[in-house]
Amino acid sequence: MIGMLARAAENIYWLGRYIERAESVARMLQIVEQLSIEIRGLDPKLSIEIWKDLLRIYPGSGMEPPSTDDPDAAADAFIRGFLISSSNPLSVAYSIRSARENARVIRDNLTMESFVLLNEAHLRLDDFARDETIDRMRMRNELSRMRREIFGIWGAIQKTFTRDEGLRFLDMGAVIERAFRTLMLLQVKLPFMFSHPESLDLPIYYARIRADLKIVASLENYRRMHGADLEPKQVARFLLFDHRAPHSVHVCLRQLKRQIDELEYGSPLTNPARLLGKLTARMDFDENEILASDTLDVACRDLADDIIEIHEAISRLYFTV
Amino acid sequence: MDWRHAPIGFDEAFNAQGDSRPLYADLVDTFNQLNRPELERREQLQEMSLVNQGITFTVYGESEGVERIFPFDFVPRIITAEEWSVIERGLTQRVNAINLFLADIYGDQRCLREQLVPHELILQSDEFRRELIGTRPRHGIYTHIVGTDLLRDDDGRFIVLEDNCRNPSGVSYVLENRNLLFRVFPELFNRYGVRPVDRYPNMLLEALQHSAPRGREDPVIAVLTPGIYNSAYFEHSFLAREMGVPLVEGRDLIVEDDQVFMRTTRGKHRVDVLYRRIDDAWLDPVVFEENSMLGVPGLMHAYRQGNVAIANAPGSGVADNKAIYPWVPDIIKFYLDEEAILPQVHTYIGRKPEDAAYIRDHLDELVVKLCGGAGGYGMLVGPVATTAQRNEFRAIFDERPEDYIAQPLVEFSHHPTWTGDSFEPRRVDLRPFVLYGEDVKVLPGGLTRVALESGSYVVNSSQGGGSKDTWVLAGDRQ
Repeated sequence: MIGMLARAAENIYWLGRYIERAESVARMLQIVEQLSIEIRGLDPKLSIEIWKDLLRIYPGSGMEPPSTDDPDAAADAFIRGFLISSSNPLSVAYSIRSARENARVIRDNLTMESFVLLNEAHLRLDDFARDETIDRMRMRNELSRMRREIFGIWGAIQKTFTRDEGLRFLDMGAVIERAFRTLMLLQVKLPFMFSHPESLDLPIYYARIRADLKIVASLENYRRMHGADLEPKQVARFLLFDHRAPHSVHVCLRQLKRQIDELEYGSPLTNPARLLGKLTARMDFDENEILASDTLDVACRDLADDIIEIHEAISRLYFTV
Repeated sequence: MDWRHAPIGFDEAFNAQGDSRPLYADLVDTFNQLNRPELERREQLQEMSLVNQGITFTVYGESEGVERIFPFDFVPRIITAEEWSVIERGLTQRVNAINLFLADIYGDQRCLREQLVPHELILQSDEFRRELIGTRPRHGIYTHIVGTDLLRDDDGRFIVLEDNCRNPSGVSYVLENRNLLFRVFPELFNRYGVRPVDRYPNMLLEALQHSAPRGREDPVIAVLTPGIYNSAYFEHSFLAREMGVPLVEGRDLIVEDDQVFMRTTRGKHRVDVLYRRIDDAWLDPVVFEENSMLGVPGLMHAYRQGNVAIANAPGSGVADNKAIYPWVPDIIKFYLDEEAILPQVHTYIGRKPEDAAYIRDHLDELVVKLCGGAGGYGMLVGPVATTAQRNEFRAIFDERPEDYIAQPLVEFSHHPTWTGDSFEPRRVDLRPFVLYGEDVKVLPGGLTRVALESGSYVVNSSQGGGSKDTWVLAGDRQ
């Protein structure tokens, strides 16, 4: 059986990562903005502080936190920086442009429907970013629109992409990005979640946990499983181990395993498969140890490092021939 | 709607009195039933469609390459079955003769011994690859894909302007233009039986399969591109997608034991046929341009060993050098013992002292072309150039007159073209595509390029040209 071109596989893998990243950043901007509006009357300082978590969940943005006491100015700076900035390698515009560049390189692997939707999203966002009259309301609308467009792109890809290796690499890119961001979110947010609720303003405390679940598109799924009870350990367990939560690390790793198994069917164990096996075994058998509240954020950091290691192993095995 | 006919030259749609020719009457009538806002709406739709689909080319000389759409004019050009039959026979004859000529140059060189063409024209040509003498591609086919540029003279006859035997581009626009017209102006097809062009990728694939080295039953074929910043990258990926073969860059290939392999997710896999869209000079840094980052070290050795087919064969460019063009009718006579079916333009050759003197003294009447040039670069259209431009060009010409040829300005035919508020005559040429596999096949259609500026002769995409859908009619009008 002929494998696909290694360079094309890498482009497709990154196409998946960039589209996933663009949607997750857009979603986070929407949620943090809603939260900041919700709490600004109660705690104006906190409504600015919460934006700074973005810089930790998405490290490498190169963005300095704005020094301002004005919640609107802070929100403007963060949304602009993470939506349309061309210098921030984690902005939505940057990710969409990178996704489109990767798609252009491998467009012989993509169907016209998928390419056109991605290209349209890129061209429209590019025009939007160049408009100097953008205000907050338009940026807000743009975030919603961009997310809808990304869902459309995923839909077109899922419906029309050839069921071959390419689709596996695309999916692998997307789930690795998703698992990594879920772990980064947990690492950043868990210390606050596990801080003693009595010392906190409870409405704000729970609003923040709700927002954290929404950031990884999981609040509704969580409520379906656990109702309104936002117990921190349960939230952490849900995002790490639940097999029904679409952004849980467990679900992402299972999906990744399925794709690697399909790729390597009948072959000796490869390095990515071995690393992934170790990680899933740890997740399966050391659940309680991982969930020990005083070290959970550290454990999440370690798990995120493991994901990076799997990414590098995939890169070495499949993309470097 | 306002339609203007051409004041000079042959107008393909209107006669000298300004009445539409019978062939175009239904087309003109269909457009006349649409009002201007509707035309504008559809024009916007087609432009948006091209942009969104990324049907673009990259302009040379701008940082990292700027993507532009190749403007599309929605008034199709119509060629009758009878006219096409002449073109088809003429191009088949020409491509057959060119292949025999190339086989001879890289073989016995009878054409040189018998002084069919001057020795120096071949042996000193930049496109002649001395190292390939004795290397015979499978079936003796050198030019698997040829794009020949044609014009219509004042009598409406198709005449050959030049052959493109290296990497003729533009066929993706032929197919996409047809798709676009189907979507945006479907009613235009109601009254004409137009021959389809969408079989081209299959035809190309068959031709490439036919070129595979002996013994490769199910050959692995790949399109070799210089990369995403090449002006024709869209076309490279389009053809790879339509044929269902990988699109590779030089860095994806490796030569080991004189076999060519591509780097895949499952290790190295042998490649049997490369449809290369890279010029000879960049194919292999070991043999040609040593600084080439686009090529594959060792590729030419694998080719010479017969382990990989390359289409078009390296060294084919010697046949489409503009300096060879004047000899093509003689080449046809020499190898096929036939008269050329398609006429061509009288050409002055810079390397002949008497012709060089004539060119120098008649720049205001001539179109002067650099022999190795393409895309309209290194060219002077004397009759429309300013005195200063002619003087500047004369100085360049005098440095190396042997690098140039010149032709009297041939009046292109005109074709009605939508300018935004009326239909105006604009100059057009035609590039049909010829494939040589088991036999020679001509795609029934071609790329009609149009000079969008009023009065302009330059149809190149990089210099303000556009394109049209080209209809070859199936037979009698439906």
